[in-house]
Amino acid sequence: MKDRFGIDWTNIKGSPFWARPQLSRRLFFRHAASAVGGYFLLPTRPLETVARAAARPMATAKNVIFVMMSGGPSHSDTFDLKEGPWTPAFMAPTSYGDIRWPQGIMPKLAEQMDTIALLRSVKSWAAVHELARTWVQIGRNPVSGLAKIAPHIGSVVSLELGEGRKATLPAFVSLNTGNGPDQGYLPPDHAPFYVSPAGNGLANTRHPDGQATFERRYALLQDIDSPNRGGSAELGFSIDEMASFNLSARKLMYSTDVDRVFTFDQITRNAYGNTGFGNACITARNLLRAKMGTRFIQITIGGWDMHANIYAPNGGLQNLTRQFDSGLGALIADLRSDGLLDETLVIAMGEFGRTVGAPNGQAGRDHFLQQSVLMAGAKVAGNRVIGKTDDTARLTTEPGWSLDRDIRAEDLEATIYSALGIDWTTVRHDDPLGRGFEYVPTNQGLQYAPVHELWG
Amino acid sequence: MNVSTVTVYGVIGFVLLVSASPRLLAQEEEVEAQPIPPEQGCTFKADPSQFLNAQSRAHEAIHRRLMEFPRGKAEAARAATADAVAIPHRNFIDKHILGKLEEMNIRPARLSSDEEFIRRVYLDVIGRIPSAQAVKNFVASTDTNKRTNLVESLILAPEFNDKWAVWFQDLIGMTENPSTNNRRPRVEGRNSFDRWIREKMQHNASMTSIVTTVLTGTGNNFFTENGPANYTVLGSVSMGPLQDSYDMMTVRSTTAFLGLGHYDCLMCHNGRGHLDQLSSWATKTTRADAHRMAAHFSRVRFNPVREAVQFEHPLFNSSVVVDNPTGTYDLNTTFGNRPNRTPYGTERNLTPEYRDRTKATGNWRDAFAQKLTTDPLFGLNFANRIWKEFFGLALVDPVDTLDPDRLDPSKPPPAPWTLQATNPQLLQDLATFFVQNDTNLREFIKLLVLSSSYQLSSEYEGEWKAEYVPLFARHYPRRMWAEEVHDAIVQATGVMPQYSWLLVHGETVARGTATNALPKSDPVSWAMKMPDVSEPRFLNGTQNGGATTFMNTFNRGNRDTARRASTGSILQQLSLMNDNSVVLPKIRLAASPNLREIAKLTDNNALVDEIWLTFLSRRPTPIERSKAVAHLQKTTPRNTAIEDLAWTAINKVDFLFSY
Repeated sequence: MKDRFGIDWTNIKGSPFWARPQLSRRLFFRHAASAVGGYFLLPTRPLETVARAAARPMATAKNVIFVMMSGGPSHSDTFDLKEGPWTPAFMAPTSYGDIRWPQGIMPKLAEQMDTIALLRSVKSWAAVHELARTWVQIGRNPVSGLAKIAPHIGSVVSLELGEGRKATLPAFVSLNTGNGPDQGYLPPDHAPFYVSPAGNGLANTRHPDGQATFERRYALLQDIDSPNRGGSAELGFSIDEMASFNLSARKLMYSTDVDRVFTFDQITRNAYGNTGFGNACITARNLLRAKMGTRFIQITIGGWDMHANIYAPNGGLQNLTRQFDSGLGALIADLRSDGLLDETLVIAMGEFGRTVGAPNGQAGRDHFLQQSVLMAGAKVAGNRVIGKTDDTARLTTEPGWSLDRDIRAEDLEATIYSALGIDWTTVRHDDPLGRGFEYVPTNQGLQYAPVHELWG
Repeated sequence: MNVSTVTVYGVIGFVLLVSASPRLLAQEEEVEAQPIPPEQGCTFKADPSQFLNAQSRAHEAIHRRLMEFPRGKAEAARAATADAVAIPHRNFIDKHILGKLEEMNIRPARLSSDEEFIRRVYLDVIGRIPSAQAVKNFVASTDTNKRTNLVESLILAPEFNDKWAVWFQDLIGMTENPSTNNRRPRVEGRNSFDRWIREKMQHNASMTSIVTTVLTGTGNNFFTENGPANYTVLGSVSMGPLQDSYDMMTVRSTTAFLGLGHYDCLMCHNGRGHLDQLSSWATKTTRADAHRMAAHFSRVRFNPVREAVQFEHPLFNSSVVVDNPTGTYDLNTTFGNRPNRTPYGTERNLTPEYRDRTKATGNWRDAFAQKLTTDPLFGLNFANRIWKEFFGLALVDPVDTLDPDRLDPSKPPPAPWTLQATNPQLLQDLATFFVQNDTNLREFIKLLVLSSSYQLSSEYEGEWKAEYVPLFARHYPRRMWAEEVHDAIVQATGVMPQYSWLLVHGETVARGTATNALPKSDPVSWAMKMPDVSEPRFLNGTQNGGATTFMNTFNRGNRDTARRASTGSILQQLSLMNDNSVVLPKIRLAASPNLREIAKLTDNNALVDEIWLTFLSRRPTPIERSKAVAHLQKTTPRNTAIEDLAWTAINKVDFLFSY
């Protein structure tokens, strides 16, 4: 197919020279340099060409659980523990093979260490909360390059893997989140389905005036409004959006299957820590067990922005990690016993890390670009660390992966897509700007790639 | 451009306000310079609710919506379509719309009935549905001038100010905490700006004066009198040099006020090679031209308030917008959100030059405002945008892609370009009317809604073809705004919720103050009166997110990462059926004075008519009436049946549309 300049690119794309994911820095820059001269004339950009040829997704996962640790957790106290005189005794640093881990504040995750991989050569682009948080959720810079139309990673997953309106539940469910990036320019079916689960059912799926009243009213509505619902078939369109949304909504109501997902007892709550985060983790487990169409689950847990008193006993870090560990530890354990963990990629990360070494004057830690990420499941090799930092976790000393640089949000986005079998180099051509929408940006001066080292 | 920028990642100390944390104002923040090649992607702000770009695809969307919004909701049998000749031409709009249909021998839809018209014009002009009594009076009136009289009274109604204030806030993306900003309006700034905008609407200020003031606002953005300064605050960009902010202020202004969204592309690269198929004008415009436009903002500074660097100070996190006496747009950036800015030949510092090459004198922002408001695109942009609000589809759609080279029907562009608007002379005449009438919103809206073209029915009994869409041969239904849905429920039931919003943000008060104890506004019942899409936070004086969740579900957006959208969803349907904060509590007879009044009617037919008039602004069709009466007869107690009917009315398809 020729582009608008009359050039046929089909045979030019993906030449053997580029056809491998582990492009060396030198080759990459040689390629980039050669491209600069003719760049503006090219309809399909050379970097895009590089990435396209390289895509071989891992395809080990069917689902993703993305834990957004909002506020920026202190990496040097958690996933990249570095001890010092400031380290309180309750953190109880313990070695699990090569992994040093604050067993005292995250004991349940410690029990799952053989499924957990820690990425320590990760670096945020910005130490500004909202900006960086949006960044990791859309996988690109929120103030440039397509950001205004960019969908949440979960919306892309919904588009790629969702079963659409056949499914009972939306493909992208976002728990305890409330607000944030949405489906961007994608159709509204792929919007995050926001739920703050309390264990007493899905909101608005029971009629406050009782089921009998509801059934009577719904029958009346169907009776009276039927000419307005689906009455347009003679015009050549059989789909009636209202009727379709309404029928999907009706399916969620008084459904034993849906109730089973969003309802749970005190024993289960206690097993997950009896917190809002714990409830979200139970719901995530139930969603995956139910197999009702949900593929991407975001769970947001805020409060990591600890500028002061980070080590306060039973406060700060100790309090929040207790919630985090109880919920996520139980979730991983349950998914494991169900066999669901092998087909579910679990990621936990903040928008950035926190300052390292001795705490600041207020006994806290401030915003910092270096960070660490926890991954588990989807056949990711456990009990492993990708990347190394210096003795305070201030800087990456060994990237530990193919591109030999810090891992970025865009790389993690590519990793999620790859795990799910989605071609992360996909370029869609239905965007409102008419310029092509890349799942993972290719125009930022870096080539981004999945961290496939996680698997092997 | 050299390759080295790709390899250099410098860590740059950067002063940012990070307000979420209880710390000093001037907090050192680390921001990494992201390497940016010259080919940085285009970022012009398209409307994300518009799935597709091309005008033809916008038409397709309207066509699809027509198919989704079924017919058969209004009164039964009447002439299906009309002879275009038989419909009176009321102003020049009809000459362009109906005249063209006559020429093409296409039959327009019949004129809307009184019931269709009154609901449509109430919603479109003031964002409310009419009361049952208003509908009855209007239908009963034999005054031949009654539609004109109704419009005259609506544009003077106080509700007009609220709807068009919200519209303007959407246009400029006004919200308390935009996520990618360096400086933010915060609660106080948002409140002062909101109050100012509503006042301007109330005072019938021209768009020229409103836009001029927001472009040139100065002072501390928290102070009531400095509301407009928040517009400039909204243009501040984090993670980059000041030039990124100048660019953003320009892009926001040209997009909202001139329809020239392509400046977002041009701030990174020349138009040629990028916009060749989109805009003749942009293809000829260079990055240097765009930078010279942005130079108008290059003396803007945000000064911190020295005595308010601490948490708990009432001005904590406020911004003082000032114009420096000196300064230029310097071509010396090596990091940030846009490609590096490097000298153009020997030119290292740019001074402002408007897109018609006029150089700025005096205060540069004043000069920019003066040029922008007299730019021919100013009138065309507002005519096009406001037209879309009333006719469902803009004459150039998407509205932020105007091409100055392709708008003047007396100077058509050379082939292969064609005039951009679907009806170029109409757009031109609308813009002329807008400018000649002092860029007055009310006069312009009156012109639109008094045309016969606006008053066509959305029903079309003949064979409807997708090609008819740009001809406006019928009226296009639109989904109501979230606020309109909410306020329609309040209006119909007469149950007045007591909402209030935040007056200050948490960091300016004593630490540990409970949210419930924060200063809040006097109670207000109408969603259209909220100062931001993050409100109302309080119901009956305590924190309550019910109404906020309800309206977010109806896609009011956040004026930041998610813009207002007109799409349906499963959650909307769940809310309408079961929401226990906005819907259900209002349709109980014990709560609703309107329903209690209706319940006094003993005649079932009259009672059903009254419910339909109250909720749907029309009488029921004979089939609807007989089914509703049957429900009344078989259901006991009677009050339960009445509540069922009110619930049904709210859940009917036509409750959600202006059609």
